[in-house]
Amino acid sequence: MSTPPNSDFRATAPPAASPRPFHFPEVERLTLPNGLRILLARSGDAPLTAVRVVVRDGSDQDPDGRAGLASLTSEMLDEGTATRGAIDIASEVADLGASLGTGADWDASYVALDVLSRNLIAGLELVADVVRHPAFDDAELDRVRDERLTSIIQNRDEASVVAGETFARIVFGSSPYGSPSIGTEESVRAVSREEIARFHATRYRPANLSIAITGDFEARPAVRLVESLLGDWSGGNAPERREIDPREPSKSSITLVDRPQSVQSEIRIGHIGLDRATPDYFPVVVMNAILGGVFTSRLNMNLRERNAFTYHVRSGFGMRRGRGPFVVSTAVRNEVTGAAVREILEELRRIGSGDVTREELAEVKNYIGGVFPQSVATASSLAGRLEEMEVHALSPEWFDHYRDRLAAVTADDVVRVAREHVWPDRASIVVVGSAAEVRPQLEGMGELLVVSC
Amino acid sequence: MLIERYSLPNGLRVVLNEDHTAPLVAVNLWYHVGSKNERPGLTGFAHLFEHMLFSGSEHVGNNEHFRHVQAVGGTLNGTTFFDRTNYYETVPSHCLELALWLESDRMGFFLPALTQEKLDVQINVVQEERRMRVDNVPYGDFFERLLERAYEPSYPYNWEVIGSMDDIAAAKLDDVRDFFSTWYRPNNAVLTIAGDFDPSEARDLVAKYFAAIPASPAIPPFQAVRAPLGGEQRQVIEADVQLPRVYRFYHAAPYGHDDWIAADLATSILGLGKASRLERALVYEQQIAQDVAAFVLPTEASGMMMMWATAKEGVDPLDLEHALDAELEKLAAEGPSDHELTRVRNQSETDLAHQIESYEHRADLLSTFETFFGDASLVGGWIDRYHAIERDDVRRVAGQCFHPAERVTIHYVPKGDR
Repeated sequence: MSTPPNSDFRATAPPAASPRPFHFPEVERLTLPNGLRILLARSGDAPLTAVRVVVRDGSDQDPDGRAGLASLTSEMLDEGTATRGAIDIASEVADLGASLGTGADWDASYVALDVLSRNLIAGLELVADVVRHPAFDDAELDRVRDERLTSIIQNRDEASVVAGETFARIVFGSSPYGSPSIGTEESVRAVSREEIARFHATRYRPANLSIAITGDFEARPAVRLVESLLGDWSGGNAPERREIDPREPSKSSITLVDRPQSVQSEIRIGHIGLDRATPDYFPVVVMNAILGGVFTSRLNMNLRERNAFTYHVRSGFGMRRGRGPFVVSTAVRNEVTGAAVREILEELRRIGSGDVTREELAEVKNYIGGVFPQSVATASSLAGRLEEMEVHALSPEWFDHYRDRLAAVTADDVVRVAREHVWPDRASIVVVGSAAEVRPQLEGMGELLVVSC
Repeated sequence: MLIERYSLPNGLRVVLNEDHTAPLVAVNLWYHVGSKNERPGLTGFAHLFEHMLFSGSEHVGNNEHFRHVQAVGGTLNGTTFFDRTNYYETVPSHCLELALWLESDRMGFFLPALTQEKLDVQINVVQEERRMRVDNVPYGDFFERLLERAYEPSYPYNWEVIGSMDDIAAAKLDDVRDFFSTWYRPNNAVLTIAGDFDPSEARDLVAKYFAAIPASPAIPPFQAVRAPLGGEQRQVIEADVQLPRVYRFYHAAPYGHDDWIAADLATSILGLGKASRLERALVYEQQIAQDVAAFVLPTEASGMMMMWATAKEGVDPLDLEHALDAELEKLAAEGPSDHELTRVRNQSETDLAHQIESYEHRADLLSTFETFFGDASLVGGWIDRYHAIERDDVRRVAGQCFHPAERVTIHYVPKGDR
């Protein structure tokens, strides 16, 4: 095969043209007299609309012994209302060519509808019904509970799930963050219909709710419909929240969960991290990107491209309303498990050592700032940004200043937040793998606890 | 949708779709080569090769492709499937030239940068990918087990895209060179640009970067013919799973055929959403299944239809299989109702609207149509073809697909439960 001529213009990357300006889409905000907040924003020309209901309480409000309550409550929303059965709801959603999802994360509960814009009105009517009038029928609850218990049983086989849950238990202990948000076998059995109905009655109140509508849609009819369906919903103030304040670790620990059939070790290394309101938000996002947040991060270049231990490795701060986890996650073949743990800890030490280069800093800042427009380019991704604003009470201008605040992060900021928020010597290390093969590799690295899967 | 198509003299087909809604542009390059162009003994090679194409070319260092794109705020990746391999970037619109420079460098100047060391690293990385996706996951090898029974060893859908551990390890530098020279040629590729760009500028840039790359004299034609199974293939696999699962594979018409569309509608009627037939019968009413799935894959040489159902605790997988079959037989005998058909057509329309909404997915869809059907603008009439399928078409296609002698059935059972 012949090769093409090697023209001069190929030698280096072409210069970029001048960028087109980008502005975060304009968001219209209204609050109904009962406290319900409505956010409206347009995105693109696709004939699609996204509707997101945010209830500002999630699994972090699960009572002790009732892990999974927020998540079960949300899952039951579309399993029947005062006027519609579970199958009626599913059929209507399908007839509209829409998708309807309900769920809870640590910070909030959600109802999400993606629908053709021409069917928005019918879709909104359905959303309002499942949010406001869920029936929590006993027979449906029995079925949903049984499915949930089955999922929990299935998760025992998933090394990655076992690793994540074990890590959370060790890092967060008895705090709600220490239990799976879907619940445990015991807690899911214990949750009663009354508790679900009470969670709904106290948390799903207009003053605790926001509805974001994004895409290509007519705003006035949508707002009028929300007003007519939910405007007369009273329910008082948003309830008191239980704040999460987990205890910081004093030392490192290693837990090996024995899964004899494993051909790969699932590794989690980390500790308690930060909440979303941290003043260090931007420096931490930049620091984490350099460490393990992008393909070209230090961790991925080391473990994947230099050592070929893994398909991928990442680090992340789960910044929740309370202090969520900082965790490095990867899966590596059995025989390099110990070496991979050592390399990860070494990178956690290095990021605080002060050797962040100007090129690294520029690359990740350009990346995070540059991909931002992509994160608002579709109806559903823009809706996600509005949800984020509502869940974390961000100021309306927050995303307008996003790229400027990101640009202001310096190398010194990165090193400072690495030293303050990354603790290699107090990290919890969890490995789910074949103890027979990997235990010898983990000995001598600290106190080692071996448990069965 | 504004679609312009043309070819360069070297055979590279170009699809331009101008849309200034967002200040972004998607560049999507399809090579018409996938795992079906591998030979036995080198399964997984097309995918391993995809990894190698990120390891640098003459003017772009190892992993620098990622660095260049990320440094301008772009996203990128590549994927491999049975019939094609795609490479794509979405970048801020003023960085279109960068993406074209990068893609043309690896199309024109890949071999000079190739080293054994890079190949060794990617062999290990891909083996880890296989462990992560297949070997360390419950039911993870189901697709391999279905394919090896659905197709005879000489038919190249007999193995999964990821390939076998041994074959991945066996790849040699010469194999990489041969594969590149055979398949990674402009006359075996489609380049789609979708989003915020100026078409005349884009045409100039495409010519500047791609026109000098020589064509291959001939792309090897695909000639394999699939033999009928002539009898059901069944297997019970004991594995590290908590619950039994029933898998079913059927042969469907090739992607793009009207009967493929009917098969797509049939599987949606069966398994898409909580109101679908299998979901309703097995999960909601009988409560013998934890979950169900049914779909048909967009494969070019022959369609792959798959279903599965996970048994609830204490449910015999044979009983679950019979309940599944009862629904399939009913659809094949009576066809769908008008209401059901309207519903799944609407769902297909929404799916398509979502794909078109994002520049990245739209560009990939245009490359799909240009590569497989020879004309990207057929995207415009795609959903009309769904509306043209009638109840009787779905009934007929279901009847043909669900032939017991032409199916593969696999039961996974917990160890010791056989």
